[in-house]
Amino acid sequence: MKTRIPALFAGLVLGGSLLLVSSGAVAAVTPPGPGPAGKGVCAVEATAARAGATVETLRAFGNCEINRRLATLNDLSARVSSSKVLTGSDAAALTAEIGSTRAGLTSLKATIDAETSIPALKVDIVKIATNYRVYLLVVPQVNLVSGSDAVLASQARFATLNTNLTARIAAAKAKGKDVTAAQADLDKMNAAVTAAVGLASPLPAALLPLTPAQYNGGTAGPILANARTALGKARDDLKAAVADAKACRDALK
Amino acid sequence: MNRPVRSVTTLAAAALILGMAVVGCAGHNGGAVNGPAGSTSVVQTARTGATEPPVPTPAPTATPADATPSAGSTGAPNATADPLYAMLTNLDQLLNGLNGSLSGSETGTSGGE
Repeated sequence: MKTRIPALFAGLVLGGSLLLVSSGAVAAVTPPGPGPAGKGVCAVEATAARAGATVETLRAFGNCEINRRLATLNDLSARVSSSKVLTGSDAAALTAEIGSTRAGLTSLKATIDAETSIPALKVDIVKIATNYRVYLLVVPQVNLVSGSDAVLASQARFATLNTNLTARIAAAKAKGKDVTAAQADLDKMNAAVTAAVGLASPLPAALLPLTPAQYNGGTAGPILANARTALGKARDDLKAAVADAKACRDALK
Repeated sequence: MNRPVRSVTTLAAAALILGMAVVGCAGHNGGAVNGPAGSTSVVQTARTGATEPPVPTPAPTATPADATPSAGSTGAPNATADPLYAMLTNLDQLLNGLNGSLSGSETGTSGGE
């Protein structure tokens, strides 16, 4: 009995957020998009399960953790379907992943609902996190692939901008204006866009195949981290490109 | 005795207003033939409608953050009519979305997994 209770809580920590929720150890970061969907929403169930691990309390905790993940998946799904920057293939891949994760969690919920054994429930609860990795894998995948595709989508917009500014430079030059600075700004803009696109282009192909098993094995985490770093640099490049475009415009006034 | 004085005053005031209206029209290349000469502002409104090309005037509602409010009066391209402003605003919005994606992918949002 002495070993069963610690094992139970170890399982809960792995499977959900029992100890993290109770201790407040998770950083209070509120994402703008689909996120944890309320890390504290299962605090009551977590406390009850910790106070007395019964089939009912464990089941309630497990179901709560599944439900908040399903809510997150619904948000992600809506975001993918309404995205204006995701490519068709990337959107389809993300939709499929969200759908399979949702189906798996729904099936696991049915298993938990039917379970009458505490040890079996402990195993099932662990699976909520380890088999699906909604918050550590799926949410970052959706965000990072969306961000990458946004960078790629910006390329066409910058191309239009380049056409507009090039025409303005030509017109100013025809009037005898010195356009050296404007042309330099435009060249910088185009170089920054090229750099950003180069950083973002390989990311979807690297991110989409990642699985919860790869995350658990430690191989997906570095890929996610590297993608986040690359996307951050791409974002900075695009910010610089916009600033260059504005400088070019101002130089022509 | 007062009545003739009042009439002269009224006549002078009317002449002054009419004169101002005529001078105002002359300063803007004329064009007040269709409008009543009762007040300067009416005359100028009529002139604007008659002589301005159909270029969009600055919208009274939101303008892009980087638009120059006085652009129309300084001879610079009209902020709301210039496609460049729309393009840059569009890219700013895209960057905002990108920032949101980056924030949403941070490990701090792991939800306790």
